[in-house]
Amino acid sequence: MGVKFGTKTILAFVLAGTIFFGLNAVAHAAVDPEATMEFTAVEGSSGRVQIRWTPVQDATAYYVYKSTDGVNWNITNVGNAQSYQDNSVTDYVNYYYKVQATDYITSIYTPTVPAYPPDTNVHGNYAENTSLCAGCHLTHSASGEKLKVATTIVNLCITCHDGTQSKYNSLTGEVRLSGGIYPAPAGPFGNLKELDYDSAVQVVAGYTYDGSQEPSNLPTSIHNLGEIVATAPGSNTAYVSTMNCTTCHNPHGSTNYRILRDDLFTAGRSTPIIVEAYAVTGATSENINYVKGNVDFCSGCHSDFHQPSGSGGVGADKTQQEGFNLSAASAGKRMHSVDMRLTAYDFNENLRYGVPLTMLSPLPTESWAGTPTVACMTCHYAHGTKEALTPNPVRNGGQSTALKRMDKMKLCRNCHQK
Amino acid sequence: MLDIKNYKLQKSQVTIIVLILIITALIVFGYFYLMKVSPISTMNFTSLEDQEMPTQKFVINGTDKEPLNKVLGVAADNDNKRVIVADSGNSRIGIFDANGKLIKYFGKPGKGDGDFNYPTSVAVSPDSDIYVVDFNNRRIQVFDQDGKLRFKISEENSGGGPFIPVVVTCDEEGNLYVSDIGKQQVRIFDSQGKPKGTIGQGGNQDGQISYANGLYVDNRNGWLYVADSNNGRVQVFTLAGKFLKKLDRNLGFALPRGIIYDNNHERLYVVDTLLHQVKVFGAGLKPIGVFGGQGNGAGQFSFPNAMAEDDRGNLYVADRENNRVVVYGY
Repeated sequence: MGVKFGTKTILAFVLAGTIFFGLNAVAHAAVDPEATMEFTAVEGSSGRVQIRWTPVQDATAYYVYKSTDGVNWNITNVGNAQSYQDNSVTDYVNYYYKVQATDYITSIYTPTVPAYPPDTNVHGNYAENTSLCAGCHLTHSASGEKLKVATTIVNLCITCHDGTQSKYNSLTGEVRLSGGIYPAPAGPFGNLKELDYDSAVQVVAGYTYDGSQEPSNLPTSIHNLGEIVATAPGSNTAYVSTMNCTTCHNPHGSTNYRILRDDLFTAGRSTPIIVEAYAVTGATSENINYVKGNVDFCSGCHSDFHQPSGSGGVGADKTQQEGFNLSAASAGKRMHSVDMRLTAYDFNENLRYGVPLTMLSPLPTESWAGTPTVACMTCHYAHGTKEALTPNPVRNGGQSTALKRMDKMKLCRNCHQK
Repeated sequence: MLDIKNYKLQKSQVTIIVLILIITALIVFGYFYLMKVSPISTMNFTSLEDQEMPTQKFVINGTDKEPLNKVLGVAADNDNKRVIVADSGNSRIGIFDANGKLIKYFGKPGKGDGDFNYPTSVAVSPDSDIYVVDFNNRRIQVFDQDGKLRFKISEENSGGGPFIPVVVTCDEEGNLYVSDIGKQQVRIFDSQGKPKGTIGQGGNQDGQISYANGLYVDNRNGWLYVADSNNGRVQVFTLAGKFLKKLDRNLGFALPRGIIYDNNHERLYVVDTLLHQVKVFGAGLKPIGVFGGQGNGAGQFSFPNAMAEDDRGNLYVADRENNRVVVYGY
């Protein structure tokens, strides 16, 4: 003889169950949305990348995302371990990883980290590889400040970045790709033959090009190492530190592209500098997917040049760079704007600018605004230039090719087709 | 029973004894001759105190008008009693006599035959050929002892690219051992440049290497010492490529690059570039001391890179940022 339940009884059970499981879900320990997680190791080997990260309390799963361009992401693993070994990588291709910790209600993410198989990137993610500290620091017999093994930072960096121990050769401006060695986006520093230093200061004599030397061997201008930061064009800082590799790059790693500093002279700012870009490796070229932050970064030193659209027609009385005032040297000057979008202008209406729909030759732009946006690196290399051969007058009264991407005024006409 | 007191050697017996002595002497010296080892230096082997470290004897820095610039490589030419120096910053090769006096430079910046672009390593064959890693030109150039080009090894004839040589050494037969950071392995070529084989592959496991910036062939034991630079360690392989053992990073390496093994004193020397010193390992590859230290004074280094030894017991250290070679001895 069976038991019969009336409709009201069944509904009561359903309601009770709903309340029970609902309360249970609410009361269940959950991932703290304010918690942070970070990578503790990113190790490369031939055909393999190993990543490890900090555990997140109450996370029930970790999703590992992988990308080669920072735009298209795929879930490559789901599990509850705090590590993952990716055996589906190709040597000399750049990969980007991020991990999501979730309890299926709340999720938090690691920053994005690059991996360069078969190499292990020694800059950053030291938590599980503290022996890397010994590469640059000594505890009791250091020669440089902050316990650095050497006083001379540039010489320290080019130990590896002359290409003998890194895929990036900063002297020749080349990068190792799967197909061989090809030009790198930043340009070359050259052989730094003029490098001369004492224990405190490094100075590189500025390059001069008189047309007599083989231009392909040497850059005609470089981001001069050893110069005092306060003397940079468009600078309005009192920083008397001399420029070296760590002026721009954080050797301990950063979440920014190319480990660019997020704290570059940021006194007076409310936020760190975020530079988002992804180096997309092909067999014969490294193409950069620039997203945002280039102007903000460069203007950390060249603050006067952070000028808005239309600044070419108006004398400047301020800078857009947060935390900075315009220097007296730039007051009243007309300066080329940055961070402006290349939109489809009616050529007649905007004849005085003559900005076309497209550039004659494509130059790097950022994508943060939804349309190509001009930034500093659109016209300038970061390290050095071999493309510009003819010096032009510069602010300090001298002549320089100013790290330009094209010779003479080709750079101007590339956009302004008068 | 034989009467030893009154025994007289027959003439034929004396002849036989003398002949045996002569033949024995021929065998002994013939061995040393064929092995290209000086019997005198071997017989006069001086044992070192356990902790005894070499001291600076002199330096080689070119001339006032033609100084060295960024020295990345050094090798000893024993037959001619010369020192071969990779004058990397000047993209040329310097040849110095046993006292460090300049004999000549050869080569110039460029990419033609006999030109260089940032040479990073040199070695000398048993026949006194000079091997030069022409780094930015991604090739090896082989010269005779006068600096005349004999042949080149580049991607086209290296046995498969990409070919990015960074360091070269050779064995007693003149075979070249080349650290190729293009494939992250050691490539072996015969004395005519023909590919013979490879050792290792890219990675951080045992037997794998990453940007090896030091190689040394121990002919006596048939071993290859590899300064596995990016992995912060030294690895030892047989010449057939079998992994034998390693000296790991926990021995205090920051950046091992140059490396040599001195069979006479049973010592392994490892140049640690970022510590500006040479680490010394004794019998059983146990660490026994260091010498050097950062600076530009006597016996000091600034980013030392490579090391060599000659058959007179001199040790040569390529002192990169001091633009010189420091010569040590016991």
